[in-house]
Amino acid sequence: MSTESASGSVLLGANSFIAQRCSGINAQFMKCKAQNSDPAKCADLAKDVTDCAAGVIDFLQKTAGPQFENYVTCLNNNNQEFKACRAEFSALNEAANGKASQ
Amino acid sequence: MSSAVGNDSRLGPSRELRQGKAAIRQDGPPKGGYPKVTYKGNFPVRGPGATAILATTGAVMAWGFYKVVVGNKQRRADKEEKKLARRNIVPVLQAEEDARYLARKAQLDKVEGEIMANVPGWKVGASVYHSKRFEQNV
Repeated sequence: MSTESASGSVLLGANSFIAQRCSGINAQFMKCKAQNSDPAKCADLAKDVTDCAAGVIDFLQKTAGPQFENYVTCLNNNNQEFKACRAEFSALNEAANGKASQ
Repeated sequence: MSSAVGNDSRLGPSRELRQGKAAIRQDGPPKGGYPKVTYKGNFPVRGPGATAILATTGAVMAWGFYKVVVGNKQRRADKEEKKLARRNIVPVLQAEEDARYLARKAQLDKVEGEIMANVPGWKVGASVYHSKRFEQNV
């Protein structure tokens, strides 16, 4: 699944998971961008970033599909305001990370 | 009551009545006179009083200010949460845009190569500027 089909609410809904799992590669990519204005020089890292994010969304859809969809729908219906969707987010957290943690 | 001639009630009671032979029915003060008129103001002290009003106002204002401070802290936290979410996504969006840019640039360079194939000394995709910094044009 590529991120091209991920809408804004999907990315925002997954943002904490993307930060959790892809922080390393994201930081590397941003460092590369800061040093090189030509995008061709950071093309490999860009691909890794996209793959990592796509993997996170994939993981969320596999392990917590209904909860993730609920959360994204809630965000869509509430102007992408996080405080309107706390219940859905905690359900998603429980499902994605397992009941033991979070 | 009296003879028809010379009896005009506009002139007041007739002579025999004015001499006290019969009671004159007149509008007049009641027996014992009128009661005293209270011209002094009657303003009994009532209500909470100035100190109580000021204290209540002060208390309400203090509580209001406290709620404003609490609300501002919450709003700042909400804004920070939104900013953090956007910060987390920036690399993904930038990577997507870079990929799109490079793909589009490759397309345009290909077309440019076909058009300028027979022009000697033409460098496909070369910048029109002498500056070394990156100029985006797609």
